[in-house]
Amino acid sequence: MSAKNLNKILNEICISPELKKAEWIGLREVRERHRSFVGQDGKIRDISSDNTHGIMVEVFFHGQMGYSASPSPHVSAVLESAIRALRQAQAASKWSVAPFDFGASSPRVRPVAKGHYASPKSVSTMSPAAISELVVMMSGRMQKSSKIVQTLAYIDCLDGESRLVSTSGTEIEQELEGIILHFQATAQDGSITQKRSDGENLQGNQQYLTDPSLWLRVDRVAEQSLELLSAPECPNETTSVVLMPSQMTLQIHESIGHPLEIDRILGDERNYAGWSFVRAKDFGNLQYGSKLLNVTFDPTVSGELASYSFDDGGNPAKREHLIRDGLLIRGLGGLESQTRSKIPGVANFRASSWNRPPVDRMANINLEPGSSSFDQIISSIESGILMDTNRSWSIDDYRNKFQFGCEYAKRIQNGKITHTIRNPNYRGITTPFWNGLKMVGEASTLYTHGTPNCGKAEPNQVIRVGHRSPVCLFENVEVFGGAK
Amino acid sequence: MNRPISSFREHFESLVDVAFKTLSTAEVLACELIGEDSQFVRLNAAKVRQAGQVQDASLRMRLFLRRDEGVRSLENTFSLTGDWKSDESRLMAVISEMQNEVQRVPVDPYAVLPTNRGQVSQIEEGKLLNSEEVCDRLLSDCVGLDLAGIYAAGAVIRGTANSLGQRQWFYAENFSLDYSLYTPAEKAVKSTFAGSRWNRSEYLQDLDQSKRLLSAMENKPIRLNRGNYRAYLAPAAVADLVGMFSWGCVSERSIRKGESPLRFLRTGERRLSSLFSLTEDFTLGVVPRFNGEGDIAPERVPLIEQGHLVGSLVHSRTASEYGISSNGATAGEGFRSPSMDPGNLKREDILKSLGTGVYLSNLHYLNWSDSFEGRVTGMTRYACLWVEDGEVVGPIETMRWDDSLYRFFGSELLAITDFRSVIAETSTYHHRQLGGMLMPGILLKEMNFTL
Repeated sequence: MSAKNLNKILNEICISPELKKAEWIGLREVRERHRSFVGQDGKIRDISSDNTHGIMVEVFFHGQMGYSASPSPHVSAVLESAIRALRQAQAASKWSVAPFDFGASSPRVRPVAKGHYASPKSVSTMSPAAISELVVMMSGRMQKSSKIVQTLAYIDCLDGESRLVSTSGTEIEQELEGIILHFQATAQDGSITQKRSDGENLQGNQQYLTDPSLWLRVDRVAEQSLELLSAPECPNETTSVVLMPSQMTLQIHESIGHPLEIDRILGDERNYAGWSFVRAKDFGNLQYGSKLLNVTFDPTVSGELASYSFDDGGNPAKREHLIRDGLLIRGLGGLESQTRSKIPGVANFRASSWNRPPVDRMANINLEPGSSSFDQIISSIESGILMDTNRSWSIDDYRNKFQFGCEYAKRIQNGKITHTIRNPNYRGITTPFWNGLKMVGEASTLYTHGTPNCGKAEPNQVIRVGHRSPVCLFENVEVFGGAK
Repeated sequence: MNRPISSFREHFESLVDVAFKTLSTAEVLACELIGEDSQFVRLNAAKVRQAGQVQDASLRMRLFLRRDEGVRSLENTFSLTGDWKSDESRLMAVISEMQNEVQRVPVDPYAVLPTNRGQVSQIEEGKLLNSEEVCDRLLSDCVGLDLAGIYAAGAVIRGTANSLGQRQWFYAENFSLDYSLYTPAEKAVKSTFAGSRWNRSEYLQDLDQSKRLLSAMENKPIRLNRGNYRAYLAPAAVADLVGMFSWGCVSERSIRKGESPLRFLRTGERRLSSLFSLTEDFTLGVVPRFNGEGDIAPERVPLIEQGHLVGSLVHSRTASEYGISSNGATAGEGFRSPSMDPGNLKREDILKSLGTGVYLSNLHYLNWSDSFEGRVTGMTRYACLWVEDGEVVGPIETMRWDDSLYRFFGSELLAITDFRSVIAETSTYHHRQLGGMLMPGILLKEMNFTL
């Protein structure tokens, strides 16, 4: 269905006398397909295709939104949905936590917008049979030793489109392609088990599935899983820590992204994921990290997993600094949260699919590069630990006290990387940790990661987010290993 | 949607009949329907943030192709509109695409062909609030409270069918109000009021109990130093810990692949407390006994008895790979309805038995510190109290803890309560989930707090 056809449905349902009381009506159609391929231990494990399609109707009454979603695109079903949404809005309006002003012709929280977004597209598409063979080969190639007890390769090819039209004239179409790639090897020797993994989470084409460097990475995962079996445990000490981009993505996500979500600051999320230590008065005042910390909200990066041109409220997306020179200046909140809180925000009012309402989400949250080369960072460290690839994460409901674990680590002594360490974990408190940021890698150390599985909101939603980061060095970090 | 969710059974059965007629003798088709007609009301400050309804149904089909060289299979899931013409046309297109593709994919040596498990029908009708009355009925009794949460209610359906004749159906109407109350100093308590029949007096009782607990949170918060403390974990906190057993612990596949920390129980290298027994228990009636493939689990699957590993959750694919019997577990081999045996600690003796230590009502954000060894970290959350000589002193400031399942349910386990609570599953990722846990409280000699 095109945006024009969706608009036609909107015009048809608006004739209904029952909807005359609505202040604003929006239709958001989402169609998404995931084709997933799983290879395990050199054999095919699963091939599946998941196709979802439906229309969300949002209706405002007395400034309160009600919604209703259904998989049916038939006019009669959309009309029925719109009437249900209106009734929900009417029933909720006397209890509204934040009624919005819909008196103007172009309401602030649902601006009029027209436009189109298309992610990078596949130059050539591999057939399902070829991708099936690829995951079988990848998982087979990692079986390099009898000590490797399990291997897995996973590819998820995503294509989707969304359309948003409204009674105030919005008409947006966005198209997306993406690939999630993950591969891992589990090695075991006696009572010791270790796992190593790698992958990509990007919008765009399948080019890197055919790039020869993929096989080097596959080999490295298998070799490092074996290497970890005989590596010493991470020591218990307070030391310098170098985080590779694959771990920085998690560090940024949990201790910058989520605490800056304005709906958390407003308390919407406190019954589920939690609140935030950040308060409205902190914007423009809180030294979140050292002067080297510069963080942007940037849905304009081509190929990063959460790039788009408009959020699901119709707000045009643009790059904004959240933290500049360590100072907190902007929150992660869409127009509804900005109106309620008076905090400057961004275009991040997003829903996971057609069957969930939009809330404040991360998109691409990136840590901007600094001026240090990787060698300069390592050579500056007398004693420290380099950690790579997240494997565990936990943080409190105010996003203060965190504990993260990685798959793989290296000891750094006298400015040199020495030996491998297993079970590296570290813990800290958010703002002291970021104020301990001592060196930030230059652009050559940047890597773009992301996750398709950021969970939040009630009803629950998982959404795609992207994170690009350089290598970073932190001082005075409490590290420790695994134990019985 | 073009038909009410309550009438989807006929629609599903007619659709799959059409699909089955397209099959060759070498093909077998297994189908699963997941659907719901749900209302969601999100609350903040005892007011409404977002209110709405979601009708959703999707059909998952797995096609198997038998050839001399082995079995090939693939799966396709798509949304159903409820309109016969649209859904039939989509179904035919999907089947045709699958029949083409399945011939070109690799042979799956562990594919498990469906069997006919017969006919099952479980229908649990409820008495729910009218969707347009919900806001008034929930919030009229909350004036003056700072309440946040989510009300989720409506019908959920699950159905399976395969081309060998199997038909299974599950329909349930239920609700849950998952909420928390807050003091002005942002201390909080948590509760979940859930069931299939709304009862206002029970709702008021639940609110009253939460309000009483909230008053204990108004004292000045106490900051604990790092270290080991004697601890009592209430049933909701125990449910969070037991939930970790679903993360690759009780999975037969994980045990055999050396990933489960419980592999040490199987080899006899370690043991848990003789007080600890854990069962996958479908007698709770909160979830269908059939899984997505239609395999039916026994009513009770004992997993740990008096500290010994006596069972595991075995999916049919794991069974095929290792030549063992399946017990109807899901593909992820995680819990759907676990229960932990009670002990003899009486409710009125909890504080006295705790003496001096921490009382934890809830835990938060659990994850492994070392998954292969069973070491878990997490936070305290909601009503967590410091107790001295059996008397509540006040709430504690949020603490991180880091300890082992082998200590929680082994060396440090002193007592288990003689009562248990049903902890309803309130997760709504992708769709409203089914399930629940029956958990007691536990008294621990010590628990390690780290930050």
